Amino acid sequence: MAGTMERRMWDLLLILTTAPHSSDVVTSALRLSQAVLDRGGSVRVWACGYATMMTQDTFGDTKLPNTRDPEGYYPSPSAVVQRMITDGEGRFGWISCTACTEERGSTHHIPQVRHRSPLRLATTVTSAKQTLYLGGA
Amino acid sequence: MTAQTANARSERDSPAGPGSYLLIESKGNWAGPTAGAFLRDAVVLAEAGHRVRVFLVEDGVFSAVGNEVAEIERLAELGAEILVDDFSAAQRALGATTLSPHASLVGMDVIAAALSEDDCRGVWH
Amino acid sequence: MTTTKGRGARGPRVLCVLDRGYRGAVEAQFFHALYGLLDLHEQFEQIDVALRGAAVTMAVEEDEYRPEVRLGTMVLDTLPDYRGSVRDLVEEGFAVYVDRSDVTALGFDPDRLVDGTTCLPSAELSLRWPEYDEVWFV
Repeated sequence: MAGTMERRMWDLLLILTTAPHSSDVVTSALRLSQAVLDRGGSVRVWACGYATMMTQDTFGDTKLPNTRDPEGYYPSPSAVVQRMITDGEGRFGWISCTACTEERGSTHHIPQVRHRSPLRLATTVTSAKQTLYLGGA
Repeated sequence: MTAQTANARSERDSPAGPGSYLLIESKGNWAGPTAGAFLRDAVVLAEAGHRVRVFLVEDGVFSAVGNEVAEIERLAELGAEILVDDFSAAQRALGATTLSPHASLVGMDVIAAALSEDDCRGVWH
Repeated sequence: MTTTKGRGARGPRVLCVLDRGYRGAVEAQFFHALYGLLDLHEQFEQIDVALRGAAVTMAVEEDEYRPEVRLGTMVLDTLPDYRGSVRDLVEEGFAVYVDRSDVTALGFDPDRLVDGTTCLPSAELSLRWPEYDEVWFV
């Protein structure tokens, strides 16, 4: 007799398609994610479009030097996401859409990022209690 | 909040009945001629009897400046809550101007809590 | 051989109009539009800045904004300092124009603008375009 397999349910899914550097949407998405994590909840980000650039491994840990503050520490976008994944201890996840990564050429990501085909978007949505679509790709 | 199973989704209310909406406006009335349409969506939903909360974030916070944004006034009449992101407001120096008396400054914790309610439908613009 | 409009190696006189601000706090940090202009300054004979639309708020003095956000165990305290960048522009000799109609439409007192900026009616800003070789909307 086949049993019913229970999937993990995430509290919030953010489908992040807006390009970084086009607005403060990445900042808002990360702040909202942190607020959910602070409540003990779980968050998954599905990055689409140019948002897939956020987690490329070519960034390294820091941004380019600030010529006005050469000693300052400015973490790269991928380092910020990597830290949130580590600190989230399984409650914060980051998915990169494979179609968008191919389309944008952003194919080399930090190892913590999961890669999913857009054919699995609906499955991902049904695995979340709440989904917000942050459009703009 | 704890890990949930997939059948939690089916416990939401029927799409046809009154619902609870959290409309998140990140663009607002300074983003172009059609930007106000999202707040008009909020008005229509509130007039139809749904619970409506509007969260203004990023450039959306400009809709809370002064008391001449018709949609904000109408939403307040209808009992909708107008929430304004404290961080976005501070970024844009809105402490140096006057916000609508209907607007409340809140942190992201308030939005995270609202989105965790079983019947809350979040929509981001 | 020709020279570039007779100015040798330096770039032209440019008026940069910024009408969209706030384009990525976490990902941009120091490297936002105003920083870019500060860094390009030496290459050009003259670069000036006009803030209008929502970007006028970058020139309004206030004391609530803290350029930091906590993400996981990281306190990222290197978010953009908009007012500080405008002060740097002024200090480094840029003319910084601010559109008066947008300042007042948002309910700000023009007296609260960063010292050294110039608050002008929209039409007067447009009439300054002929003083520049190029006008860029950045």
